[in-house]
Amino acid sequence: MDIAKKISDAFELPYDVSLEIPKIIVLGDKQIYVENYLKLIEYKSEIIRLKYKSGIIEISGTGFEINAIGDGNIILSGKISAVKLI
Amino acid sequence: MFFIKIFHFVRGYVILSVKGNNKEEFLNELLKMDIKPRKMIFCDDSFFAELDLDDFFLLRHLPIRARIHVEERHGLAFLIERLKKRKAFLFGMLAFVLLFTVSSHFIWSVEYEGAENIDIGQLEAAAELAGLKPGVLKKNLKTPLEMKNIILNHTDGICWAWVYIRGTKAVVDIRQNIIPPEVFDPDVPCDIVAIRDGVVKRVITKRGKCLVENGETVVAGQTVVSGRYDFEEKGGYATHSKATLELHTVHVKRGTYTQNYCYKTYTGKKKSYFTLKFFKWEFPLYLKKNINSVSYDKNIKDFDAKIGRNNFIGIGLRRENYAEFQIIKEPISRETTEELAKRELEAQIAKELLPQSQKISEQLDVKEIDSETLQITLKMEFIEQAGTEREITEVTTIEPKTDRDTARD
Repeated sequence: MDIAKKISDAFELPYDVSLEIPKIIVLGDKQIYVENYLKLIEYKSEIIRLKYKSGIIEISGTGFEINAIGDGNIILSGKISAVKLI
Repeated sequence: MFFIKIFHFVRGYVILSVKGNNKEEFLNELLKMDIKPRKMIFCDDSFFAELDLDDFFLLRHLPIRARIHVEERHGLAFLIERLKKRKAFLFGMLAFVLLFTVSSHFIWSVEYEGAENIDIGQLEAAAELAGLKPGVLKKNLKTPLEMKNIILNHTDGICWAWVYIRGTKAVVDIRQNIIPPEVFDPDVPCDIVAIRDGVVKRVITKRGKCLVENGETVVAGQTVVSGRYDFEEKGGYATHSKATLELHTVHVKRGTYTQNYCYKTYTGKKKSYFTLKFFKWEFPLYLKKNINSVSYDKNIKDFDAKIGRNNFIGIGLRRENYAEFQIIKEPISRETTEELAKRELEAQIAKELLPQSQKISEQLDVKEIDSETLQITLKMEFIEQAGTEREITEVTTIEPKTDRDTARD
């Protein structure tokens, strides 16, 4: 991991590409876009847990809906209250 | 978005419900197999998703056991399967498609554009002569050039025409002749004559012989400046006269007016009559028109079944609306009546005036006929440029006198 990070730093490569860590874009408390996750662990209207390479992303809120889902990316909408990296 | 929906409809899709505790796993496996579900809704113990029909058949290879239930089936394949059982409906649909296909080979309406002051009956007759009428097969139409020539040769007052075929509609586009103002040839001999009666205010003669004096009364058609010159010795000749004639004219208009203001108000009673248009035939959807009122406004509106903008499929509905109204009279003052009458009479006089007229005076005479009716006379005086050219057709040539004639005298 360290080597990969060093290479990324040396070549100024974005971490989400070189280290396969998730990229999370949050639009206020309305929508969230997660890229580079591995799989969906739990889905409920109040909580969503996504597994990525070195941990779990936990998104909590209310009224979640999946707008789009693809291989490694997901767009969720609802009222987001917290995003945790566990 | 619409095209994407059409695409999904053609491919066919199902709405699934997946129940059980491992529904997240099910979703992950779908994504691994490159199956992308749409419109996912998660409930507490189940989730719903929309899947393409091709992807649905891949579900049998899923390693996870889940309770999958097909909730709804959509798409062309399912529609055809359903319609196979409804033979009459399928037959009707096929008949409609056949009818539409056949009817699209005909012309079902002919429209005329640019025909404002043209005899539309003559234009229709010319178009019919060119083979353009509702119900004619498009294939049998003449070429646009041939149709254009026939329409041009059989319609008065047009200088250009073209026929556009837009779907099942033929549009005859025409251009009317614009008659250019008459130009007088300066070499053509002419007199200046008065257009209307009046008293001569001033005559500015540039060429020709002035026959009237200021203050003299002239009548319409009277020669004011003559272009004829007769000489006893040298004979006669004519020239192109040029002059400006200013006439003092009087215009009088009279009318009878009641001291009421009339306006139209709708009573709210309406009647509509529908007519079914079926290709070139029309079938009224009523037994007889029963309009009890005498005063009504008529409004006709056509609802044509079209595919796209111009593809009239030959079937339509015509609505005739009759809205009853009544004339309400409200009493108005004498001053208001005079004012309204004056406006109307002024407008009548204005139609008679020549260009560049100058108003000198006006006088309004009011005579009371009865308690409600007034006879109002408007007299207006103007200075008008009332001279116009009139060609000299005959020049009386006087033979010049010879020496013998002089001696005889």
